[in-house]
Amino acid sequence: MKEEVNSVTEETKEWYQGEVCNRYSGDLKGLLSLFKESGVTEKAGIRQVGEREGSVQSLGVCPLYGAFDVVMQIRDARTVIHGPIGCCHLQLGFHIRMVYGSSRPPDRTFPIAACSNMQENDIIMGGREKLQEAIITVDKELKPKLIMVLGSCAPAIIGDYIPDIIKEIEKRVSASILWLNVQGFSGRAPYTGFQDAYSILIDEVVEPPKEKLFDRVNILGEKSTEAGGEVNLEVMKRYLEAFGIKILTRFVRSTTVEQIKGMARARLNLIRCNEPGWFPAQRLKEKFGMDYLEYDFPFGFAETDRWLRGLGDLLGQKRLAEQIISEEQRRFKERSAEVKQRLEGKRVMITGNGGRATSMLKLCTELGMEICQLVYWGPIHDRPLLELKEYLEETGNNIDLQVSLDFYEQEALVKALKPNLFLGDPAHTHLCLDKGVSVDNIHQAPQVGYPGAINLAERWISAIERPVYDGWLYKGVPLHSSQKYVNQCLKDAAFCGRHRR
Amino acid sequence: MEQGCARSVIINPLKSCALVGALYGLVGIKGGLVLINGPTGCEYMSVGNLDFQDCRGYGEAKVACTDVGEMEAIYGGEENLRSCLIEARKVYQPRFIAVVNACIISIIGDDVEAVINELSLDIPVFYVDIGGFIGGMLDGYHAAADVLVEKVMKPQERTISRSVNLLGFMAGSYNWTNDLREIKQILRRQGVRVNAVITAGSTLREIQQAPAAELNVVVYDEFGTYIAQKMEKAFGIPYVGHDLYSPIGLASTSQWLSCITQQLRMDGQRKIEREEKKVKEQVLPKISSFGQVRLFRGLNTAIFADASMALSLTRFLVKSLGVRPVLIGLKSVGPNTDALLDSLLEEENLDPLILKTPDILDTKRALQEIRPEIILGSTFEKLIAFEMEPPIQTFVHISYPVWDYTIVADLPFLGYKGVATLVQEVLNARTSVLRISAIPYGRQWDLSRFEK
Repeated sequence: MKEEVNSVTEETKEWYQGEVCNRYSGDLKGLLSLFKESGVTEKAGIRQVGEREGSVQSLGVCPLYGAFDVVMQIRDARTVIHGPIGCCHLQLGFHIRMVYGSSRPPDRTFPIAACSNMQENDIIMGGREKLQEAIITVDKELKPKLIMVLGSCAPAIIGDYIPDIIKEIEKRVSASILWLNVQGFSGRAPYTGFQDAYSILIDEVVEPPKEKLFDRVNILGEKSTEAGGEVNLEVMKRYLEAFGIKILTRFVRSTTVEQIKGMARARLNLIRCNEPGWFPAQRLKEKFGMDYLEYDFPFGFAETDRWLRGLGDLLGQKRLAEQIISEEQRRFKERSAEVKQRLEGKRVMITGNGGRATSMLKLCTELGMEICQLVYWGPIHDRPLLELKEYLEETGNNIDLQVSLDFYEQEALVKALKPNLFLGDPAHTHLCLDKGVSVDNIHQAPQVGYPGAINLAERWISAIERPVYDGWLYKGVPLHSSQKYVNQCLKDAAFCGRHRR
Repeated sequence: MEQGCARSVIINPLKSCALVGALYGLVGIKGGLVLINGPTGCEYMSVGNLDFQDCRGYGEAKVACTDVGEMEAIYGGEENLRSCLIEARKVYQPRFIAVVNACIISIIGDDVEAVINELSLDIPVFYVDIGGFIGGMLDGYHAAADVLVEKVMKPQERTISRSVNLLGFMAGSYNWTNDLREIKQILRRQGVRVNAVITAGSTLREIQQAPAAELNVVVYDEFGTYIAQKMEKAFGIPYVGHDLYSPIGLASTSQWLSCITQQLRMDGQRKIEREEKKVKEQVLPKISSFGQVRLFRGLNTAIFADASMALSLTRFLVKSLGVRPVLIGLKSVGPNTDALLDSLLEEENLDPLILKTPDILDTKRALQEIRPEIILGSTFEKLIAFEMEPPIQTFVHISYPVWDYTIVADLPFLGYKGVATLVQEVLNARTSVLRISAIPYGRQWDLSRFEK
């Protein structure tokens, strides 16, 4: 079965599939010219960037977080982390701050997770008894329907074989037990953790459908850290209602084991965010033949139109989709004209991961802003490459971009470019604040649809026109790296491109 | 050892692992860089926890990570560490680098020391051989202190008279910067010079010269006593404070202070009385006006903190405000905790439920059973109390971890200034809830007590 799928992808492989750009500094044409089959040959503007000995700045959580995050969102499931207490304490800390504190759905209760408390002795002798007791206690005390055992670095290295450990006590536990090895050293992103957790849920929990519900869809890949996630969903629900469609299961935000079991009955899967959502969509298609819409929830006007058209195509309601689009355009015509007028020509620097940054690039271009730099935090591959090529073809805008720029190189860029607006992660706030540059956080969840685009634009106008940070600056605000390092970055041949001021 | 070494299951551990303890032990030293030799998650998560509660100011230590991955797990991470040390030196230009191992490097057994020696950078580089699994935060903190005492401190030729080292401050403790400032100020007013603060708030140079102090003063028993014993052994410096209540509240602060001045052969009594009078003048009218003090009398109180803080705070609340402690959660315990606890219970004739190194389940059960009227603790206790039925909403933040309250103003809990802060916090927690809820103003009495 797997081989068959692979051979199909081989035949239909596009130029961008499987391609990766690890580190790059230059303009867009230069980047695309690195990929022979992209059709772009112009080799303008590739600049050499300084080689680094080794990276010491990480902006990433670990795979354990990805899996932990997925399970914590299922209301009647509980996590048991097999590892030292720190793994559990730190994950909870992050979860309480980022999810429970700022973006939890109204029905979420205080996060509870257990830990097998591995210590030096268990590293030598193995953590079998401790894990077994942890599972039994969680079952007895918290009475979940599902217990997910997550193995951290320590058991992975010493070779604790979790399924064997579980097997011995399975009959004494009333919850069903699943397990995953999600050791932190397997990656620097939550991505693989998301994937592993989704795939085990799909394989072990989702049941083959006995009936099809033609007016229901599932939502995949909602991030738990999405502040305002419920409002975003409300916007999308209105679009779905216009097509006469309701939501069956949110996989996995605010859901239950029972809802996950029955999710294959839905007609379609819709993806909220590509990073966590793309994989389960493909898996559900392979396993149950469920269709999915390949675009994630749209940011900006043009992306919204594309999304609505895509959904119309899948539902066989093209004309209805066009109607909804023209209705939205009519509703927001005046307000979008107003925000465009106020943002026109404002210089923006966009930073982010693949999909998100590219979406923001399109929205900022739509709003008439000048893109003075596009920065990808890490390597870019596949889809963003395609989208960048489409962007170049549509707009002819040969922007400057950087791939895998570290935190302090970004600091140097901000210092040199002094954009009107910086779009990035909350962690960037102090990086910009100290330079008197306005900043907005687009990392977790920009607002979707037409109303979302207007809302973002209005926030940016406010940030640019009322730069509160300016009032806090004083002479000699220190840098976050060292002056010597920033100077070195700035000296680097044309590091900041033609936009340097 | 903290956090119940023998336990097989901990539900919501209230404290983190040894790695985080070592990190917090070192990150308070000014101008340095702590390099976590492990996967990125260890760094990202622990720094997030730290910065949410205790955002580091400009010029304070940075934290970086070697981002250990599968390749390093298989082939060893020594080469990776070498290049990361060079890069860290270049990017941050720190005054020193402290390498802390995560679980994985400890298990695979990289020779970190050899990498550091071979590289011989032009700044001091030292390393704490610890992994998360070694124990709790306290164990990690002590491991970091070991390195400071053995590798950093240098024997000094002369002793600076009337100078002390403060032991037991840890970056990441709730409100530590304000507490430290206040303690330094009250000592300065007594004419006592603070030579170094271990492990947070000093520069590496100051820590190097710590053995020049005349006396070591333990502020928090569970963190500081260990270091005091080590320094006594290595440099022969005497220590005090380990068997006293931490300087919280009027009586404990004055006792702590007079113990130091006596040891230094100074007469501080008149100055102490002056300090006390100043605070009394400030606080007394506030608690006596319109019978504010009746809001505290017999108030069923739960306190969750590290032992030295919890016991000292309980003493203050009982002695000076008349509350009734019904539940005390000791999140970590030190060598003198039991003796202090016994003397507190006897001295004040108290009979609260005592939890030692509880997890969230123990805490939740105790809170449900006892239902205190006010809780002093961390974000964990606050959130479970808010979700109880009916919720307990009268709450004051006093201990790690606090992720839902940001400190901006310079209000300490320790020392004389801390008296005013504590009264203000407890009083307002009580009155703000009374004013918005349906609970009648003034305490109701419980008839069921007479039916037993």
